[in-house]
Amino acid sequence: MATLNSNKVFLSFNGINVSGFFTKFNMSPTAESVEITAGSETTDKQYAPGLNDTKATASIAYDVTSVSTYLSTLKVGTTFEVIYGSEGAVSGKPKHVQSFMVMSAPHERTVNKDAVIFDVDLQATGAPTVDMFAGGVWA
Amino acid sequence: MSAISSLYTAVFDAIRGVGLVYADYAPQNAMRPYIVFYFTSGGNTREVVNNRQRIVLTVKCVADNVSEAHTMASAFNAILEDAGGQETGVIDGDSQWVITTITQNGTVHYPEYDSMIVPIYHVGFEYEIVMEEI
Repeated sequence: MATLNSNKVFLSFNGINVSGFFTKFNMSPTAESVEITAGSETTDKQYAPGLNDTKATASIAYDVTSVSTYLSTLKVGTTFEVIYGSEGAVSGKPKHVQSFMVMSAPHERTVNKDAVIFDVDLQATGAPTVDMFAGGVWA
Repeated sequence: MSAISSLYTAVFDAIRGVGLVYADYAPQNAMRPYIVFYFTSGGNTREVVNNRQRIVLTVKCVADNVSEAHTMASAFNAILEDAGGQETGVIDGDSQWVITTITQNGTVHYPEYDSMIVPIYHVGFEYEIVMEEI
């Protein structure tokens, strides 16, 4: 038993495996709260869960051999399915599947010859079809 | 093959035509002028999933006069600078490591005084080399 810190994730965009090119992936599910204070309550506000939302960011390295296989998925406005496996695509391990829209995909070149990375901003277009937070795992 | 081994082979093969070349150190009785190169610093950058190394390699000429030292340093610099696979492509690695870029980073220039009255000159450059395991 140990805390996870490996970089052996599974990540695919629109069915294209980009696990070998990812340098960072961040998925941020959030929930709104709705105030429901009513009736005889006199001291504390009351809240109930509202609608959920998910945003994600990914940093994908520019691989000179394979960039043409995934570059088109990074086009802004494109919507596709993201599949994420926090411990790879291993049976019984967490799996998350959700459709996202590309909001931005900037990349930067520097005179210092740093690695070229696409920083992709993603907005979920709906609820996950497989939710790792709800117990979704690889078959 | 390790990154250092691949790099040493590539650099040695590239500049051996300039003159006498030694890796890591020259023997005590080495005839000057000669070139010596050696690992200075670096390792896995952990920027990407692959093993991506950023290595600083010092390459210098050791000669009996400053003019000769500069001439030889210019000669090997013309071969090494910006010679990676994503640059001129002259030095692009082997079947296990791709050398992407070779960048002149620092300058080496100092006289060495020993028992001789005339100093021995060390002139050359530090190169930052980025290479990635295939």
